Amino acid sequence: MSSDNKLGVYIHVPFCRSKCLYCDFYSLPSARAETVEAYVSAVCSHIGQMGERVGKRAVDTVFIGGGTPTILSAEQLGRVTDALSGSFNIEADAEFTVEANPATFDTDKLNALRGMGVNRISIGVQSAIGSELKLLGRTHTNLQVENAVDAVNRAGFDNFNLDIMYGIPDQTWVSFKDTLEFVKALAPTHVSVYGLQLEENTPLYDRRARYSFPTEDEEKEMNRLAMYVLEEAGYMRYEISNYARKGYECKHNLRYWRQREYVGVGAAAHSYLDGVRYRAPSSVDEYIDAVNRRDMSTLSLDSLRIEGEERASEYVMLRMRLRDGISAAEFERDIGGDFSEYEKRIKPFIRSGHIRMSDGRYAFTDEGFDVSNYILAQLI
Amino acid sequence: MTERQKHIRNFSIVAHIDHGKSTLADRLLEQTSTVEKREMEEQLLDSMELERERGITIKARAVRMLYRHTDGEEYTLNLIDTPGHVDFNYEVSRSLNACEGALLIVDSTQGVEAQTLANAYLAVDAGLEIIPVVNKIDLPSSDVERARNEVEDIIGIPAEGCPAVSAKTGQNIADVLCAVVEQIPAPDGDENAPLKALIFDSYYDSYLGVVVNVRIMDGKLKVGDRIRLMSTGSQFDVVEVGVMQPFGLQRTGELWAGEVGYFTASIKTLSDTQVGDTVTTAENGAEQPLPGFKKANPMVFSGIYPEDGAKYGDLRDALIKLQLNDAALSFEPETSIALGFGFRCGFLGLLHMEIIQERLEREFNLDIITTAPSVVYRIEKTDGSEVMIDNPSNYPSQQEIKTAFEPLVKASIITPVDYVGGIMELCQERRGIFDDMKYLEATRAELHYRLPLNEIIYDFFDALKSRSKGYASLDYELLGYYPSKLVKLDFLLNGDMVDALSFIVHEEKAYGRARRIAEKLKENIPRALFEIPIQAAIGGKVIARETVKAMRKDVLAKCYGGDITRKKKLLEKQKEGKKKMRRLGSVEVTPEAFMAVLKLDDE
Repeated sequence: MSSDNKLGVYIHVPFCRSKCLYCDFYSLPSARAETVEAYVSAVCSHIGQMGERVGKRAVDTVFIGGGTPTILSAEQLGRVTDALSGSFNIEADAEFTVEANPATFDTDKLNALRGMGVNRISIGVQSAIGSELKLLGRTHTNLQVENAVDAVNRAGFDNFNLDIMYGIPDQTWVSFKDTLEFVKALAPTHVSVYGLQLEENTPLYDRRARYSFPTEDEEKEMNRLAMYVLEEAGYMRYEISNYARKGYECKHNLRYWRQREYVGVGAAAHSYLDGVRYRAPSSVDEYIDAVNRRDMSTLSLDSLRIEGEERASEYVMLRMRLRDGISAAEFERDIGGDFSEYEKRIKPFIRSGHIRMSDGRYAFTDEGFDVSNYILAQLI
Repeated sequence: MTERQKHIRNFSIVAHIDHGKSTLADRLLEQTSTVEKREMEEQLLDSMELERERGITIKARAVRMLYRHTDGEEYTLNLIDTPGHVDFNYEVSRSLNACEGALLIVDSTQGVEAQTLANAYLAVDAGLEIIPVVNKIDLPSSDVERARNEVEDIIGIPAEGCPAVSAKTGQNIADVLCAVVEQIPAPDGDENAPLKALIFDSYYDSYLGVVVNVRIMDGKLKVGDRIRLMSTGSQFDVVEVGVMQPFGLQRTGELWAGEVGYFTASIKTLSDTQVGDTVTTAENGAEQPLPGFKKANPMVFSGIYPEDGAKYGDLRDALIKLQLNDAALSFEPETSIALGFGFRCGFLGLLHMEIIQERLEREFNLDIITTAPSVVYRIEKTDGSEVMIDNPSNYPSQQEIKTAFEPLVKASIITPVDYVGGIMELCQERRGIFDDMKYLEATRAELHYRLPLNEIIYDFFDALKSRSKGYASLDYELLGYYPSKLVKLDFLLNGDMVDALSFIVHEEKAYGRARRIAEKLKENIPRALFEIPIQAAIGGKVIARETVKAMRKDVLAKCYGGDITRKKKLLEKQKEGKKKMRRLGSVEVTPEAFMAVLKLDDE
């Protein structure tokens, strides 16, 4: 068990106005109002059930993600946050993030969220180039993003994230630079830079033959560009795909990388609680039904106790995503095992310049981050 | 002719692939109630999974049927199924020699095809009575008269009124049985003469030892006889004698001239009972063996290695087991710097090699790596000595070689005339020497070439098929050794030579092959963190080069809502993929790389 026993709470809202063409994450476009309402009620009950289970354990991060959480009405969001504060011991300075879509942004709702204790907004920008957005199935414009950021600022949020993406078909180094400059000008506290993953069972995947995707070399250069532009602007690459101003690192995401526990609420939400990882069913109907029946086994599918070798290798896989990597001493303290076997596997990559060792810590170099997957597959 | 012989018919079925040979066999078994319908498995005689899948018969197999004819008499029909590939032509000829007749199946939607012809000639050569059987009459595009005319015009066998059947539906199958009894001669042979039995197949059974399938040509064979195998002179006491049933053996205690059956004699090794050999009695035996015996010599050699070095013992056990039932397979241990411990294996041909590989993988669950096939070269060295080389690793350096010799075959290719041009081009590319061409009839020709064996062991058969839309057929026999300009081609990955990739090739072909293999290797070497040069060299001189560029980017993407499991699975998958890689010095290659190198497309 880690020394930090605090919990995070993740709430999943699997509804969207329209589905992005690259998304294989569970979400329902254009769900009926009754379905959404029944779902909100189920989420509130589930929050109550989980609150009973974890008792007084302190919660220091909350993240409402989706889908598009802001598709819920202010009233519905209020019920969810009320349930949260009623059932969990949420610390006063807890990080509380809600994801928002610039296409469906609503200033009133934003102010309401602020009143509910939300203190961080995450906006999916993805690209500042109209043709790229269209290709992804995103319906917003740059003006909408600017207005959204403006509203975030005016509502009094001092912490917001913008998500951007590289690897979009027809995207170029130059167009990506435009996106980066656009994002930089909006002065977020945090920027997430993701490579587009072509997932099976998505429209983008089915149409892939029609598109010309950037090459591996081009993607690498774009990823590098993001690093140069953002570091130059004062952001720190604290994690493989996340940049933040000092003190604004996303605590909730860090929780994942540090193997700390979290309670997932909602369809398809994952939890890691009391050493066991599990997930809720993906189907909204199935989820609602399970909550109403208090059917714990349906709400904890694929249960897996994370221990032994599994826990050690995940520790390595997750910690290495962080800029400050792993120290042998911390590994031995947190995992209780011997790090020397991993050290042996790490050695060749120190020689090749992909991992550096300083102050007793092993961490990826920028070169290493580029090919981290390949290397991690050999470390674990 | 004895009464017994009058009621026996021994026959085989020959056909072009897919014309319905095995299906017809199934129907005959059903019609004679040898196998009840409910016990019927599709294509019963092809009992190897591989045979059913590929639609080819690999092992000869025989079965006895009892049939009550329209004359009220009961006849014993022995059906001897034959393999259908040039690698096994010798086995086919032995099986045919055990018969008096053959059913020649012609697909009435396709007509006579190359293999029909080639197989018909084999049957004619064996002096068999041939009964054409027009098949697939249930199909709308069936044209029975055209098929009959083609048989008469092209093969020159009367086909008027021959059976026209649907093996699929069973229609008119009775006509076939009638024709077998009425048209195929009963066997003769002197029951009182010294024993002469032709071995047409044998296999190993863990309880009985070697089970030998024979056709008694003269004399009789019974339990307790002391017998002698005429090619080796080895002697055995007969333990069991009987006939073959679809689902096993039935003891009869004796076999008489004209009959087909099996015997066992506590024979431990299959190589004692070679196909084509003659069995006689130890005392008062025959003086002359039956004609046509040839010892099966491996023509193609390749290294077989376990993918996982720890499975070496399993591979050895598997090869021993396969050899029990396949005397033509030979093997001995060899070591490769790149691949570790493995075996040098000898095969009759490329199909035989592929079959052994597939059986090792399927029946024994082994992941194996096979090196490029090689023929046996003869080298006269400058010091006057002579060596036979079946492994490129042992090839002497150029300075030590006075003259190199390679095996040549006499190839006969039968093809519709439309494809003659393309086939001649192919033979030219393969260093063939044209001997002659004759027209079998207006639309069909037979080409004779002398070809180096090493040019046809790779993919010649496939290339021939693709250039003739599947119509051309190939047969070849070894001519002997001829001087040739050979070189050993080596491959270096990241500067290190990989012995398992080396092969011997004609000087003129070296450059093209080197370039294509380097390209293939490039496709099969995953990117690493560093650049990997691939070089092809002859005696230290690089003649082709490719480069696998370094990996540039491989990043784990977003972690949606704490779904660590998914990420982990991705990495685990990548890790598994990596485990399967073969490490050659500092470079990893996919296990498929070796096969890809063998399977050079015909360009």
